[in-house]
Amino acid sequence: MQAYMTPAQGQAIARLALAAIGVLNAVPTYRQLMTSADLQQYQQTLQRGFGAMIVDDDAALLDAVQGGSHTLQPLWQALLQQPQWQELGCFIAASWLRVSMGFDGKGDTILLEDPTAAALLQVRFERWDHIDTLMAGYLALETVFPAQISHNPLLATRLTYWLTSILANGISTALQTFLLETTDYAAMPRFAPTPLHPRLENPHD
Amino acid sequence: MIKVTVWNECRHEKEDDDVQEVYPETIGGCIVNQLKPYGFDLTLATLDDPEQGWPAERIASTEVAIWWGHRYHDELSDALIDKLQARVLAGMGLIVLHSGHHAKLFKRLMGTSCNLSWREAEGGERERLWVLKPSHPIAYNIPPYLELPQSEMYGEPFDIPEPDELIFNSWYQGGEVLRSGCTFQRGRGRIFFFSPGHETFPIFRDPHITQILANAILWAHQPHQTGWMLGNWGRPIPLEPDAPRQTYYKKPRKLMIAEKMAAKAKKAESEGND
Repeated sequence: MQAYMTPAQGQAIARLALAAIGVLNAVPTYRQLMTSADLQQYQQTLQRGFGAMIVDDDAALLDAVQGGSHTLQPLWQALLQQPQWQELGCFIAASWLRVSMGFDGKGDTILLEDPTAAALLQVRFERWDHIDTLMAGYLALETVFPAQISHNPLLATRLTYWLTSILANGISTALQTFLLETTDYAAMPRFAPTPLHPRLENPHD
Repeated sequence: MIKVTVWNECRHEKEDDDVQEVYPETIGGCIVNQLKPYGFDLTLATLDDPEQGWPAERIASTEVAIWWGHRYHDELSDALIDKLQARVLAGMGLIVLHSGHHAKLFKRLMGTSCNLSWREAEGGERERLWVLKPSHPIAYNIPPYLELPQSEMYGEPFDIPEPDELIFNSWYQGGEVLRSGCTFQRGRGRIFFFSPGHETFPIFRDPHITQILANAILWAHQPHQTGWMLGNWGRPIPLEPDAPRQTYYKKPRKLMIAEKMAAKAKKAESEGND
């Protein structure tokens, strides 16, 4: 995916991805956020996807969700070129879309300063009662979802899938689900490492 | 190297001469010394240590805990037990010895009283520990039965849930029997209860007992840490494309109440204006 974006864009997307989780969980510091094994695994996935070193200061991390609609644009371009990263890209976009709803996992207010924030919030207010109408409302916002994305049935479906997963479960469990469903099981070592049989740790060597 | 914390209540050793005689290095110290040749990364902790022997870093880094407690189970804080229970559910192995059957942590994980019958006969009594599953990893290198010349009788009924596996069964000189080596799985954690280990008998110096503990550490240590453990997993969109799906999502309670109040206020205001 790196070939389709600059390193700075990759870093911004990775930062947005982590920041969305921090904001939804009301976790104020990067260090606190990264104590979770799931977040560490997510960070590795982001590094594979974007080649970005995401180690960040707290201010930059928390600022990342502001102006997210701008950050999503290079993500869309990369997704269209590199479909193997569609799950990751859609999960990131869904996370930010969930932030745009204006409340965190506990129901406390999130203030978003993105230029599209008011329109996104309006969609949430008017269309909450059914996921299909809600998604249709979001996808109609061209400043967030260019036509190539909103008219791409596969991307729209996966975006909906991850947004519903976040809405049903909260961001933490949704992240666990994401990591489970996107692990490349065929690439794992054939045997789990064991102190009894260290020679089996990497049988491919 | 597997990180093992041997947690020992370590009050008998301070309070009782007869225990000091048998275990001058303490029960936990003896277990650690016996296990050293097996190559584990061993840490000894006691109830009187800071944070009752379980600072947060130790809880996080321990891969297998060995637990010996007896007289002061109730002194352990419930908050600490919450953390240890969570750590077991997340994959820490736990080996509960002897009177640890009444430890808060063990009872919490079992969900039953863990009561049993018992007798401290003068000078102890003979215990014959039978291996019921010789091919089980915990029974590796153990003869068909062990004779412990001096033991405290722990007998049935033992109020535990049905064990996943019954590895050892004990018979006592007085005629009672006990399921003395039981395994359980809770969350991702493996638990082994092993009944021998009365504080006034040198049971932990028996090389077969040490072998069982070492086997149990290897068994309870789960190298397979990548297995998944989810929260309550909502699957709003089913796998089958035409199956019914969830289309509405509840908001957090706090937001729901705030929005209802705002709607109510708005309605009252508009009615007032009319």
